Amino acid sequence: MVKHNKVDENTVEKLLLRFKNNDIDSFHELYLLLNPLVYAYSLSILKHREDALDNIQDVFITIYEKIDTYEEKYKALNWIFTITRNMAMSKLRKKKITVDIDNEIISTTDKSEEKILLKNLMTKLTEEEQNIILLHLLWGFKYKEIAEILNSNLSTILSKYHRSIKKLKEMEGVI
Amino acid sequence: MKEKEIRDKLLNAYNTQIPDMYDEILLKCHKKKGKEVMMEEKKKFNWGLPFAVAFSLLILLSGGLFYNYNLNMKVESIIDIDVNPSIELEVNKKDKIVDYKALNNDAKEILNDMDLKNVDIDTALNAIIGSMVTKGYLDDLSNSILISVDNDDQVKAEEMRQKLVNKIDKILNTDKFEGSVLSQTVSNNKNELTESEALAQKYDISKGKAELILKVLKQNSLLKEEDLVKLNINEINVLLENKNNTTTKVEKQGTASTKAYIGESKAKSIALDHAGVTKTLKMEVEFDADDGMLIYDVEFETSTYEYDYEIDAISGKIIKYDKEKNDDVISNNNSNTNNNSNNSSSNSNNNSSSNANSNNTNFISSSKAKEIALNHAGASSVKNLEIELDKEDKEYSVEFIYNNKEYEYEINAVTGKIIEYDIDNID
Repeated sequence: MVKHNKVDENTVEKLLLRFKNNDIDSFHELYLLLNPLVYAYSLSILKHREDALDNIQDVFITIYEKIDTYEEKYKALNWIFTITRNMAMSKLRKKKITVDIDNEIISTTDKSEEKILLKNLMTKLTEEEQNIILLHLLWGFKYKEIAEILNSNLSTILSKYHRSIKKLKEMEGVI
Repeated sequence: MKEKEIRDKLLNAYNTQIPDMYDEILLKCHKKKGKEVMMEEKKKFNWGLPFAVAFSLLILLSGGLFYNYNLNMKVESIIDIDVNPSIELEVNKKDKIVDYKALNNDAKEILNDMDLKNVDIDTALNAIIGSMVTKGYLDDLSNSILISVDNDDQVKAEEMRQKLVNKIDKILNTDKFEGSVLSQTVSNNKNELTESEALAQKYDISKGKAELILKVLKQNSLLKEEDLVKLNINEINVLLENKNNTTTKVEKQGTASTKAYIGESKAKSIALDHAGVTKTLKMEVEFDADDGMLIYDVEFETSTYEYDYEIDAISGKIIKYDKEKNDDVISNNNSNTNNNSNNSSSNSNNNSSSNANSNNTNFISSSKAKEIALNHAGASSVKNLEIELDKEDKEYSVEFIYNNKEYEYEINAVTGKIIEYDIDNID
């Protein structure tokens, strides 16, 4: 299994600042580091692969366009997450109707552990639970930050996070 | 399963769904930025510059401009890219795109908001093919692409063909699927319309696709051009392979995907079931085209009848069938085609996970594991304590919250040694 390093605030901040100083390589590094995170969150909102892929493009184009407005005082990951969320929500509003999950994403023909885990995450957890997992595990946000993002309180987020992780662990390998 | 493992597995699952879109994104960014820069320059334009200087510069530059025009604007090769989207690229001596156009609606969707002018051919290919993968035109089920190079100089055309094939091969053959690249050089005649140009105009398709269709028709005269023009390149590629062709001048890498189709043995059994036949004297199955879709043509004989079935290669629906009295029964040929031997009923991997029972192993107790972790953390009473034993890995995972920090321990379940630990601030 391919292992991944935790994304951390400092790395993302350095990349954004380098990019602001016209270092185009750092934009590529940002893309490589963050595109699965942007995709994961976009997919949890939009439920469709193509829409989530479109959102990756729009998010990185926006980062490219808005980099001059980024300042060191902002939290780097939060800056990118806010762009991701705003763009995903605007796409969702355009769709107007409630969206069902893309069958392609959750089809069980691929029985790899990874695919089963993703399917369980997307079908057995509520959207809020999914977001808490993605924000903490993938995006690396602290519980307190997640509570702010999701307009909730720390103890609720903590208990929901642990309950969701427990659910995923219990469902391990169960389709 | 530990949280780190959950993270790794999720990231791996997401990564398999994301094609590399970086070049495409960069092109779109450049396009937008390009517009902005032009607007700024317009504002800053200084009309106060002396005319005389401008005029003399113009004279001086005109020679160079003409040279530059020749180098930058003169089209050296025309490249057709066909999948189902068909795109035509005009490329100059420096391998940069002079102009490009979408030859069908699918191609319009691909080119959407790309600005490829003056972009290097390699970058353009990355963006175009990346977009075709993202939009589902190229995937595991339909993996073929046709590249056709038109250049007056045959040697240059061949060099360009080679270069493009290598590039596309690299882009396509990722861990997601293997592509199949068909490629050809096409000739032109300045004085009259070539056969492929005429066919391209008649059906509004690319010259490259028309040339490929002519080659397929030469190989199999039973096929009809009006059926072939509606097929995408993967479907034509399947037909090319099916007819076991060795004579056409189409270079080829990889094999056409047939994963979208039901397969020969399924087509056979559909026809036999429908006919109520179990034993056959002769049996032939091959791909064919009918009204823009791929079909299986299944022909077989019994001692009394000859059967001919056309079966939709994707849905397995019987489109047409025909049954005639068998006039020339060959009584000495009794070698029945055994249709059951090919039953490729996909065996789902039923690895009834036989967990290696390690019951004999002496594990430390969960309370001992807890004690080890809490001692290490210097904690006495903790919140949200969770202890799990992974018998296979012989590890305890102990998680708890203490002093506003989240602790995660992995402890060897036999020796009690701490393998790894992680402490995260909650706020």
